[in-house]
Amino acid sequence: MRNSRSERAGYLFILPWFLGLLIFTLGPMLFSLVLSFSKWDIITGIGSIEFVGLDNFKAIFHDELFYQSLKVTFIFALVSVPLYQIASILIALLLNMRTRGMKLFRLIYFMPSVIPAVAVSMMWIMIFNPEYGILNRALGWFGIEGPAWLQDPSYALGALIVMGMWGVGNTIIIYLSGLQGVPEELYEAAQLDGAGPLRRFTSVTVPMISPTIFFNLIMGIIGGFQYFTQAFVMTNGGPLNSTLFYNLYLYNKAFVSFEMGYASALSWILFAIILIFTLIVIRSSSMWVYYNGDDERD
Amino acid sequence: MLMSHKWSLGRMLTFLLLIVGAAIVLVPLLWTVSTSLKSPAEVFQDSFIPKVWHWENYKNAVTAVPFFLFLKNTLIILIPVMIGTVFSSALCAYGFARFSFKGKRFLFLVLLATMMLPGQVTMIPMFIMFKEAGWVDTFLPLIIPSFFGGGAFNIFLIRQFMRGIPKDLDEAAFMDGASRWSIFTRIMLPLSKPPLIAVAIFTFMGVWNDFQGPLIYLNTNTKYTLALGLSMFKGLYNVEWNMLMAATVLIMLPAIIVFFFLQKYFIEGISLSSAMKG
Amino acid sequence: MKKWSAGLAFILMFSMVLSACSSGSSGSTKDAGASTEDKGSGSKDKVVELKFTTWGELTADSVEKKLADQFNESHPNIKVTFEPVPGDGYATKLTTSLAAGQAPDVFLIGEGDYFKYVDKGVVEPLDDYLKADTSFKTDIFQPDLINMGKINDKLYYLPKDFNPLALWYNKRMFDEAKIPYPNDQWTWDDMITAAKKLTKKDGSKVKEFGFNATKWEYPIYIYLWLNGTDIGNEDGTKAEGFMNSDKTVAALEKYVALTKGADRVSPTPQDTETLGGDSSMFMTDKLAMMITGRWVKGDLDKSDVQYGSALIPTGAGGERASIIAAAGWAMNANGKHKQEAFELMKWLSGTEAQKARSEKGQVLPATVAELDQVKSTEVVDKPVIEMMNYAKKPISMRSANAPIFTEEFNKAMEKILLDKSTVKDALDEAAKNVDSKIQK
Repeated sequence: MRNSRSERAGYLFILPWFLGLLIFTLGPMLFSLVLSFSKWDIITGIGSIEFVGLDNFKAIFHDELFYQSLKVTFIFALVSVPLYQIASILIALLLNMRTRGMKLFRLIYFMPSVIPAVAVSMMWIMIFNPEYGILNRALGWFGIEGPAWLQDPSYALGALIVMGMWGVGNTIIIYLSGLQGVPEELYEAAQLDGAGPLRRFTSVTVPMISPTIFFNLIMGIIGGFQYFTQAFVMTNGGPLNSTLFYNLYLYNKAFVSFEMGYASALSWILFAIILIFTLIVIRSSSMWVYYNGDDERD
Repeated sequence: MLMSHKWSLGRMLTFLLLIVGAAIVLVPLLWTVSTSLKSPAEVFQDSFIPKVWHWENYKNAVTAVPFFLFLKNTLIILIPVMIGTVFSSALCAYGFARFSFKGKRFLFLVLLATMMLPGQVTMIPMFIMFKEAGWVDTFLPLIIPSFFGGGAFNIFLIRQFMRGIPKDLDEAAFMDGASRWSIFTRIMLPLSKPPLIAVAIFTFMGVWNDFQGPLIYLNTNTKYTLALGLSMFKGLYNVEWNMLMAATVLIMLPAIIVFFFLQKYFIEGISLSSAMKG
Repeated sequence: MKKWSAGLAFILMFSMVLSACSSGSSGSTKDAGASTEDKGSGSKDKVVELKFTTWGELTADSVEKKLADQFNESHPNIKVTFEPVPGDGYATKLTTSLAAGQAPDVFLIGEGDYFKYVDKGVVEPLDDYLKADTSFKTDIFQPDLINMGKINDKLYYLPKDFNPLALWYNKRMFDEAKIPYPNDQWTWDDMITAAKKLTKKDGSKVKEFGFNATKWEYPIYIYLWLNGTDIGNEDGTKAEGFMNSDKTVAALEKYVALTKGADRVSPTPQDTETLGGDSSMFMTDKLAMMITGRWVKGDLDKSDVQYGSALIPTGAGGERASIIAAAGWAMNANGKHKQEAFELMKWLSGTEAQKARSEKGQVLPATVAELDQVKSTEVVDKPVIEMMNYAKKPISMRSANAPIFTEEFNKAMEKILLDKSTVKDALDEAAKNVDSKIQK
């Protein structure tokens, strides 16, 4: 179908996005790239931007908090991404059963993801409250004395990871739609071959939803690196910087200490890191992602 | 006999697991609702069910700030953004799904890459740009960008679905002399209803909950949106949790209702069966 | 690979062309905007438009809104618009609008940020305007408040409202323990003795606390001053020998001991957060004394707690110190209509405005005459007002390096309170870090 007319039509159809890319994405990106090589006390206006070469990047590599924020972010991503994916797949499998009442269950599991992040954070501050919070009270029924979650440097990050589990509704829905795309015949055929439920799961379900897993994995990594609101509202990076997420540190540099150049340099380093991670996942995907009759290559 | 017995056991187990999970999800929500109905003194007490149900918290939440004015403002932004996002992302998705042109693979990768950008730093250049255009303190900076592609994630979602629509359909129409445009509006759009609805729901949630955008671009407080307006509670009542939670319940309710009625389309719409490739 | 880089180069080029176009076209709209504004200030009979902003004050019946309306009535040639911002978003919004040159003509700044904004050059000094305007004298204000607004001998901020720190005590808890209320002769040690008697335990768990020794810097600064020390030198250029001096270490050891060990009298910061904050604890009879700002009255008056205020206790030698938390009006140094903005500032900080805010009951008037009147009628506010006479400037109001000091000091305090380090080690390290950061 490739001819010049069709090619032109193709360009025309994606034109809105392309214009948007130039105006609303690449323009600002370029500006922030310039800023990353500059010193700018943001509030003094654009007239005061001063070119400083690689100074920001040099300073970043000697910045203790930069490494701390990377550490926090990496721990969060490495723990939460697999954890949330496994939990979501399992719940999606349960929700995929064809019985009455599923509609209600789906609604319940999805509900947390429609609540604004600020509201969720407020709610969980109350839940994590060591004395009155419902979490420690529930633990108390089993004779466990819960920690001071958000105020204890050894638990605060863990608390945020636990909290995130509650909001995986979006991921569940995406897996659910992946599961519904698996043809029933495949299960029937596997069953005829004598495959048990576990075997059916590993040799039919997993390969068939591998594109979904792949997609969610990438979105999960991106989400981990862009984690902000909850840490901002609930702990503001503390105690002892144990929840200083990368994006929170970046925000503080730009809007609290007004070092916009430094913050821009941080954001480009973040962009590079996400890009590298995503490329690794994409490169390795051919080994485990199964595509169903995908013939288009250009 | 044995078979059906086993089946029902598995089924019961599933139900049990689902109920436990649902309880874990629901308890914090119910607790939020319960807090929203308490008196200030009772918030930090042991009770799960309020001793006296303070429904007036909701009445106060609606009257303490001009609730309906904020609702109107939110809708003024929401409706065009939903139209713009759904239509323009469908347009671009069609371009990526059905045409082959030079650089398409590269452009598609660029599209995916833009999903990863940290928002904090493009914020300032964007603001300067809209200020130069004279759009600050209008709804335009919150609306217009949605007409330019409507977001990478949405384009991606619709493209995946469109690629699953048999090509014979639009090729036959093309042979019959239909234009690309009419194939798009008459065949592709109606067939892509599920992902379009999914995109509409995502957009609804995004606009409904957005705090940062309205905060930066809107100055006059009669132009405030609900998400921004309800944040006033934190200032008005020195962290009065019951009022704050009443406001929270009010703002999340519409999103839950919308999802309940459209969930069938929503789940169908997110089909990633032929996801991205490297 | 080659295709990639070629494509990228193409996009970059294209976007540059486009951004050049857009800045060209937007340049013309900007010019158009500027020319209409020029007309505005050029001829005197045209109306000048001004904007001012605060955090909070969002309700329709806000005092600031009314003040804006009254100002518009009495100044036909100026039209002022009041644009309040929710507290959460104030810093982000102000920063963004300053960056884009869109900031309001007059904006409100909290005392902790006074120095920072002046240091960056975004606040206009007011001395020349005051010299030229004989109708407006700054001696109507409390001298301390004007003194606060002065940085390097220039006046930058006019007072909006202020909250001196004082000692607040829970009468019911004192009565129950049969202890006399705090008096003017109290030293810090007297207070600690009383706090010990007021602290009640249930087994090993403390149920009611005598005093709140928070990690908040202001009460700590006051305590350090009373012990003849500070976290930095006067102009905030050195921490070594101040933040970690023997006096500081000894004082802080005593201070944190209040929250630690078997006979602690104060909740830890975690306890306070757990129990819903100091005012919540105070209102539910779980806290007998706290040093905090007058804003706490707003919360306390909503409950039925019986409370009083007293002078903050003296040091061993009878010295006194306090800090005033305040908010002041600042003029945008890049504003287009500075003379008109000054008119507005005069109105917003002047006697009428002070009266209007004070009548609403939430704040004390910043003007001498009105304050004296409050002092003569209000019992609870009397010690609070008296505390103003002992106000000193914390480091955040003396130096642009203050964020470095407070960041390191807070980190050290956090470590100490979590038992991750001894007082001496934490402060030594903090002092070293501060000095090496200042050198850069």
